[in-house]
Amino acid sequence: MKRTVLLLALCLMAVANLFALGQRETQSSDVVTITWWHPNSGIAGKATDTLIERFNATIGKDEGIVVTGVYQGKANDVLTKTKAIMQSATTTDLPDLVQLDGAAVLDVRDDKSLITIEHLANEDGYDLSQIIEAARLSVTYRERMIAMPFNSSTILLYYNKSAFDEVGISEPPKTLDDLTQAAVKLKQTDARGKVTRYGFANVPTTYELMCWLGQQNGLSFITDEENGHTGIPTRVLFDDNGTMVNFLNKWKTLYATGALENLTSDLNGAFASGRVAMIVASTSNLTTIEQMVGSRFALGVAPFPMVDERATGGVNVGGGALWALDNKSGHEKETWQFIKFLASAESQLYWHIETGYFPIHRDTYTLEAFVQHLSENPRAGVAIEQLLSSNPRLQGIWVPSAYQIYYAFQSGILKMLEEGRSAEETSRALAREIDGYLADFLRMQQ
Amino acid sequence: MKSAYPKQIKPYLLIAPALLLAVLFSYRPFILTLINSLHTVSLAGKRLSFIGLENYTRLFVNPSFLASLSNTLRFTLFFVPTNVVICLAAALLSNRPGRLATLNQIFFFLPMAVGLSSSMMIIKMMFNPSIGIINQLLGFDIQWFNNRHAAMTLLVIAGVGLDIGLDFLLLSAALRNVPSDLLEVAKIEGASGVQTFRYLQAPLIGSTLLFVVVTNIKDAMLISSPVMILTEGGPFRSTQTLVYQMYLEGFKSGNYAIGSAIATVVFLLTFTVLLLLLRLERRRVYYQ
Repeated sequence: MKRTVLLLALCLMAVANLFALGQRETQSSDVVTITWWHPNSGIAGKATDTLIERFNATIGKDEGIVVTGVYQGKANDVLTKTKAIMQSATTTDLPDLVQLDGAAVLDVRDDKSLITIEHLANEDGYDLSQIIEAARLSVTYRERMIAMPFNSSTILLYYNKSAFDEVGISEPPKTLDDLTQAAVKLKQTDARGKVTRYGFANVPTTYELMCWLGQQNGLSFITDEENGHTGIPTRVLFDDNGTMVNFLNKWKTLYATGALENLTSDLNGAFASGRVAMIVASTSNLTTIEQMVGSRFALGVAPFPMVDERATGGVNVGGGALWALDNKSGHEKETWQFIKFLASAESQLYWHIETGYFPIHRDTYTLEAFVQHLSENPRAGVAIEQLLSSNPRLQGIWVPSAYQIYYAFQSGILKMLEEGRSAEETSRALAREIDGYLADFLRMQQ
Repeated sequence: MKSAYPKQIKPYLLIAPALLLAVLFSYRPFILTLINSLHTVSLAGKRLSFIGLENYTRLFVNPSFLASLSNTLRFTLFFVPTNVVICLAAALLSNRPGRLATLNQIFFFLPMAVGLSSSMMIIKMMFNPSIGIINQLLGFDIQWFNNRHAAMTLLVIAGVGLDIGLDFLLLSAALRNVPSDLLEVAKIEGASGVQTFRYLQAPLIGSTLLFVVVTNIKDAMLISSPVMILTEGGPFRSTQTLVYQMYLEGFKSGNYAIGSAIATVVFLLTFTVLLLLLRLERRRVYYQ
């Protein structure tokens, strides 16, 4: 009997980790603690810590608010952790503020614990038009601003200026036709006919296609419901409005020259080593690419090439935003104070100079320090000029199954290039597959 | 009577913790997955309506799923023979007395001591096309992560690297259990190395070999973690396996119904293959 009891005790010990053993932290009541989960590391991590310190030492000190920043891993990890708590019964474990990227929108926007920025701003009488329009619309769902843009970026053309000079091209390409011509000149082969330098390397990702399709005819939508910003999209439009076929035909011409490499990974490395003369990449890669290229060759940046002369829509805002969450602590107002601080002209100036994410507050652009920074860093200016001249209604697509759609685009386009399929056929097949994912998502709604 | 009661209950008590865990974390999810695959399920994980086999019919016309299915089968086909041959060769070669042989054995066994994620991260660095040591050292210009065939090869290499430790250990132990007097007799009779293996060692390690093949097939059909870290299913879906797609659908897209359907398909597929194999080999394997 004794042994049985002993065994039972042992068994209980063995499974002890199945039971919750936590206890509630107690806090002093006069200071309100706000928790911010973020994915910022490296340079951005340091800038994040400085912003928090500044807040805690000024506004925080006056109003009794202490912000703690918690690095929760990459953007994806932050989302995974947030989602896990949202789906559990105890939403009290949620942070007051969480920084998520565009892929998170669908998971968070309809959650009960989300407090919209629109609501917080209205309570406070804050004028949201201080936030530049393109950034504001990038987080607007059904005409309500649901988050505060924070680490916002766009896309640029990076080119090897030395190689351009070498073959006698004086200006970066403006359209895909220009790009094709330049790529042909830039391509180099060795004695055995092996390509030693490609003109351009790319396999269009969702983000690049969003721009290349969306910018056509001034503004084109990729799915109905304005790319998913006014409701749940039910079907894609790129096949009906012909934007995909138009783009694919240009792409086919480019590939046929042999100057395009179908590269999906390590593009920065291929570019920095001189094996590829042009790539398109996010503005947030600027610092990394500058460091990788070093003094190997002269680096140039230019606006993202347009599909054709009529594709004047420009580019959309990508990157991440801040989401306020209700964790039943009642610290809504304090969280809003901190969001206001992060979005302010001065904080945005500091954030831009440190990290290269562009300022989302309109007043930052007229600050003297900002104007001076731009004159010293003309490359940063290219991205900002491009964004300000883009159609603000050109917005990212909010669709489910983002990974599947990403691979659908890439493998569909590769099939077209390698198996000689027509642009029309490819566009139809892509529309059919993506419509399937949209239908799956609609079936998941209550 | 009084003392018999605890005696009767003791075995149940002993298996209770294991059973509890198995029911909680294996059987219950398994049944829930089956049920989910026959329903539409909301983003929050709530079952909405019963739709019969519709999830499955949708799955089998989806180009992404068909790619996963063909990738998984191709991976199994490449990986299992490669891995078994390499592990068996390693075990045979190091199956001799002496200090150097022990050193060899340690080398083959050591990969098991490295965590999966870290070893995959190391492989990823080693095979980086522009700064990786493999291309530099061997003078290759292979785009490991950009070429569909190269990426699949890389995955097979990674799979062998993951499995070699344990499989080598099992085969090595089995080879050592072959009675030395039988080997001596073979030697005296003038049997060549090939003959010794073919007629003596192979039949005697048959049961271990079968076990290795079966677990290899299972590993290959369920492969996902190296995919997740090394290639993320790319380039162009060429390394997207069934379990990786299940992860994408279930965890990235929140599409639990389709995810559950994929899980069920993987289970049935693996189960069928293993059942067939065990049935075929039942009479051929000699158990000591």
